Amino acid sequence: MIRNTIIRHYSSITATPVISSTVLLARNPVITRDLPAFEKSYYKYQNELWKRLMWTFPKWFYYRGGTLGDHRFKELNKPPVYNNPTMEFTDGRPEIRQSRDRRFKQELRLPKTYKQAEDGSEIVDEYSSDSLSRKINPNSRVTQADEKNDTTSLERKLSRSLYLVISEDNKTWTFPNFAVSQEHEIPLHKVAEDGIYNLGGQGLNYYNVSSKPCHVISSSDNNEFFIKSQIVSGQFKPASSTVKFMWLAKEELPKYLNNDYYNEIQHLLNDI
Amino acid sequence: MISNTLKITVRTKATTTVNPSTQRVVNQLSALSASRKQPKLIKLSHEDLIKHNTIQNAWKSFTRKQETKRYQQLQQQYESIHNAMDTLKAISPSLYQMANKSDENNWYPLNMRVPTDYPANMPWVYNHKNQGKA
Amino acid sequence: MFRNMMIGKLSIQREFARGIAMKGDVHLSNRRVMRKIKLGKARPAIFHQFETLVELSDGSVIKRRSQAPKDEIRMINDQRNSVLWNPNRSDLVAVDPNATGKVNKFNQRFASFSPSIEATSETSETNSTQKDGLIELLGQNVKEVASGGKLFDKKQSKSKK
Repeated sequence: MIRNTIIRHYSSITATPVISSTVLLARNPVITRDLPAFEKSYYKYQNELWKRLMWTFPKWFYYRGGTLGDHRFKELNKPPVYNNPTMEFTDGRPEIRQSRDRRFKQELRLPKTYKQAEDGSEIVDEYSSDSLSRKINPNSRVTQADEKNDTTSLERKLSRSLYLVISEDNKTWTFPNFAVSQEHEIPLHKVAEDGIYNLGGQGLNYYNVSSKPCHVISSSDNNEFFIKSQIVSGQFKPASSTVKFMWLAKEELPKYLNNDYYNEIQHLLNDI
Repeated sequence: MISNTLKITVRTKATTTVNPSTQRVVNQLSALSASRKQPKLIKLSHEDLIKHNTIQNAWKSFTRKQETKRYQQLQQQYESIHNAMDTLKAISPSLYQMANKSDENNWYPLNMRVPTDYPANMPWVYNHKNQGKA
Repeated sequence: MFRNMMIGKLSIQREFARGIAMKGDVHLSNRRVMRKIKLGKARPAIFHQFETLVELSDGSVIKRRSQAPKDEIRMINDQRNSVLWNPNRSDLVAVDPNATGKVNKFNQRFASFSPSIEATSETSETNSTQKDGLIELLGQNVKEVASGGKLFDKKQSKSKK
């Protein structure tokens, strides 16, 4: 009771400051990040060490002797040079254990589920286009939107987090910002949600990270609270044609945002 | 007579009859055990050892830098949340109370995707029917 | 006395066998003794691993290592096309895992020519007539007993409690 009165007393003192809630709507990375050259080479080095130290493949465990699978495996993987006592080996005697030379890494080729040409490429016939056993050809990590640099597309920069910025006049770009009305007390994240739906249509599925604001920029006349959320599926389609929008990665944002503003919030944005 | 002696002298393969379940366990153990499957140890020359150590040190310092950067960013984020909540408490206690409600039922969405190494045929799911989100 | 002992032994064996599969009949030779590993000589167990590409149902590909000798794995049903995991999508088509082979393609193409549909309907007819005959034999007021019995309904039993 006492506490309540104190709070009421406190709120009556402050001269109704304007509260607004800003949405940091992010599109999370769709593919794994691009590794820098240093990391790539380090992982390659470690991978080679790992391969060298791997035990011999227990062939008898996975392919029972005399079966078709065993035959196919044997055809692809010929045993290494046998340690012939009457022969001289210039680069050390082979140490064969379980048909593997213990001195080197074991490189195996596996029988494929599809018909193969001599060079290992797949032979395409009429059934192979939607057959379950066709070869896996991964899609390119660079999409069409990347080539066109289509900033409104969600398919650009798949390996990075993108953030939604909007503009009314095509000059000043900001994160979508919505004022909280003074009469109806609506929680900040709810204001942000309604604002995004009003602005960008209902065809948007998003996840609100928390109802708590993650940052505030206070000035004399405005308190701007930041709400983090992530788009899951669907797209942002502004109802009015005057509203322009872009999906930008972190390093592209300073080009469009106010410099001080960007510096204030840059720690909230993902580097990846 | 001769055939009889032959029978005795000819060596046949030792036929140790193991029952199938023992055979199965032996097979499984052989796939798990290190004997005869372990490759030779890597013996690096002095120069190679120095190279290896240099690589490892470079990696260590790289990861340390990344860790400190990440930690700093997290600290900043924590401080800004703290600051934002304090400000909200001062300005509007009712909004603060609403924001401070527990996020227990805020589940991570089921249709959020884990990043893969190569994108899907359709990199982004545009199809979405809204079911009146709470 | 001797016979009693025998019975006791047998029962002990049986009890052993009940606990773990194959427990009674695995006899490893005593040659398999754990060798002592000297200090500083221990080496990690690094099993042989293949680099595997896993294609998910929507065409995205994951690279991973796997001990099994398979370097390309294709998923038919997974998180990406399951209705359970995608509650907000209307364009999902339930994929029949058996509907992708050559035989199915053949069936799809030549379904209109195949006599199998008529044949099956004929057999079902004869079945029904046979049943009718059987009921007639038994008498007029015989009711067919539903085979299979009543299944235990977990939900119902819970709600009763």
